[in-house]
Amino acid sequence: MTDNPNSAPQEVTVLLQAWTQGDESALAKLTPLIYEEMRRLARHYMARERASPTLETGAILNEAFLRLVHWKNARWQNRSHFYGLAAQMMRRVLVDHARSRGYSKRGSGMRPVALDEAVVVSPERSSDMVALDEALVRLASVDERKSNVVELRFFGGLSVEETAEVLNVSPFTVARDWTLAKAWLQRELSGKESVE
Amino acid sequence: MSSPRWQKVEELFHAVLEREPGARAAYLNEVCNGDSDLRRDVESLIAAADPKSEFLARPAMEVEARAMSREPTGTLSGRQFAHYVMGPLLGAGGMAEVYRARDMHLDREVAIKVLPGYSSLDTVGFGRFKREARLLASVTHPNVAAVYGFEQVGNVCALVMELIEGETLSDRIGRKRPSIDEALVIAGQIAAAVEAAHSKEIIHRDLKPSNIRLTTDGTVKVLDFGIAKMLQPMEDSEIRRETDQTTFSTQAATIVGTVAYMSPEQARGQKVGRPTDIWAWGCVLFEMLAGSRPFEGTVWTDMIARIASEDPDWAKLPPTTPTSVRLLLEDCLQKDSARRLRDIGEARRRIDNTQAKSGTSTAAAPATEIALSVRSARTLFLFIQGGFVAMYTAALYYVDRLEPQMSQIVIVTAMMGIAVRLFLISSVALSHSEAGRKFNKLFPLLLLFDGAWAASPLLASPPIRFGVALAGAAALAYLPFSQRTLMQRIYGR
Repeated sequence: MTDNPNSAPQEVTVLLQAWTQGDESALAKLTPLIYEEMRRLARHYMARERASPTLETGAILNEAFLRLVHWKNARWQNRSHFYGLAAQMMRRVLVDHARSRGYSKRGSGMRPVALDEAVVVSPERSSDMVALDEALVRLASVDERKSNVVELRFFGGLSVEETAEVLNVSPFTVARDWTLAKAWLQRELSGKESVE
Repeated sequence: MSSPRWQKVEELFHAVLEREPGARAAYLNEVCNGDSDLRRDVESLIAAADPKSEFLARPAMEVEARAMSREPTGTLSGRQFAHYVMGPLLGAGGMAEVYRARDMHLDREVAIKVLPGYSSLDTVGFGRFKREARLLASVTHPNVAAVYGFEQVGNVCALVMELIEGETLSDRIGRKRPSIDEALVIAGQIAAAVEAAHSKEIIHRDLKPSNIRLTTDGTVKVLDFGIAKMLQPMEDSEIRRETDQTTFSTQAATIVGTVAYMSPEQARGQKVGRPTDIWAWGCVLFEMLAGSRPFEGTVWTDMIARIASEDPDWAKLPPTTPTSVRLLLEDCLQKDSARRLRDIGEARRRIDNTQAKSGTSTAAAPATEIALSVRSARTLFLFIQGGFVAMYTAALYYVDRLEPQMSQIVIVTAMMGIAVRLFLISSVALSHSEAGRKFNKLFPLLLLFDGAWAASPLLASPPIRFGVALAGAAALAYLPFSQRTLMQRIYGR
């Protein structure tokens, strides 16, 4: 992989736009960029865990996420619109990633993937992520806004205020939706190990 | 679930959550008004809503990234890494994973240890990794798993190592406890490996039966010298300055492997050195002899407490353990590293001496897969020879009952048989070093005697029942071969 996240902000926004217009190959091009960020984060945790296990990670994630997509430089008329798309994309990529982790143990055939894309991961929690994604689809059929709140908060890493801005509702509503959605999903997934 | 119904559930959910836990049931009873489905629905949601829950508390990317940082698996299998084609995952520890791989340049099988922790290294860290790898590669010893080199592709760093096949010592002990002789041979080879590493200032730090492999040809190979240090650089103050920016996750590395082989100074987090490996070597030898570790405990804190303050249960050693070995173990398992055995080379020499005294030698005895100890092989051999002498004597005693022609054959074969057997008995009983070679020379003669002896009843007239004679012949023909096997066990090939 030759893409360097620092050199590709324009590309990211273009790809993200292309994806929203139905170009699936754009997502395939975006995925390595997100993987790169994820690896950077993973390395960060590896390096920092001992020194400061309680290090505030929400801030790190936002930084990583924003660095990835360089939204400040992007020509997005609507920041909210962008957040919404980015969270959707993150959900797709992360769930696919978790799913592939789950499968990689079983598959033994040659896979045409460059080595440095080979993220060193475990399937332990991957099933939870996939199960959560499926539960989220069911939640959407009951109450779509709550599913959106989870998508933005959990997959997009947005704060309550940012989520409220994207969904054009009050932060109070987002907080209530978040509480109920978590309980609903928790109940739906009960019996399974929780996603941290 | 209909929408108005869901709105009702939502409304009640928040209303109930706002009330004190004690008042919730009464409130629900009142508002549900006999609608038990509604009540159950809301109740189960309330039960699932734990404000202290970690569920979804961290963003998905972090969950995924943390999973990546912690738990490696064999995702490299089937891919190409530098000029290596990665095969199946052979094993994965907390911080590293080992693959079988094929070196396309040299066309040979190797083992590749991927150190995910190193993917985060800056140039300083990578420089240290290179230095370590170079140092490890400088150790060449038949009992040390060789380090061929290191590779870096993208941000994955890996050590390329000799591929060692065969069971681990830990599996071996679990399958069947080694005999004293075997344990000494294995311990001697481990000590030789550690000695070679110590001469290059390399401390193993994580010596334990699962890091030791027994190859099919009986060679003991010690793996992972210095790997623990690569994974846990914080122990060394010099390293700490260097890698201030790149410390490593120690979730797995702090409790490296099992605590059971950890020396008291390691358990206390003090500086480790040669005495650390000597302690671990003592633990491994103890385990081979006793079949269980010197320090056991159900939880690791227990185990560490025992390591720090209790003596191992010496009574667990088999009663036939030579005194010299007991003394050696006591020297190795001294709590105070200053009072411990100084030099692993001394341990190796003391093992060698013990073996020399018991009439065995490191070179001669195959290290593994031996069911019979040398001592019992010798006893059995002498017993068989004694049996032959008794049989020949009995035959001579009753010889006048046979026909004249028959009795002559019996007298000749019995006399010569007695002579050969007495010679074998005396040389083996006196541990004559040439006995093995002489036996090999005499072996065709033995075959001839035993064969003639077996055939002699056929010449008798009237012949005894033919079937009995054949069975006897088969048994006697087998005996020379079993004697040879025993001799090989005692003296080597």
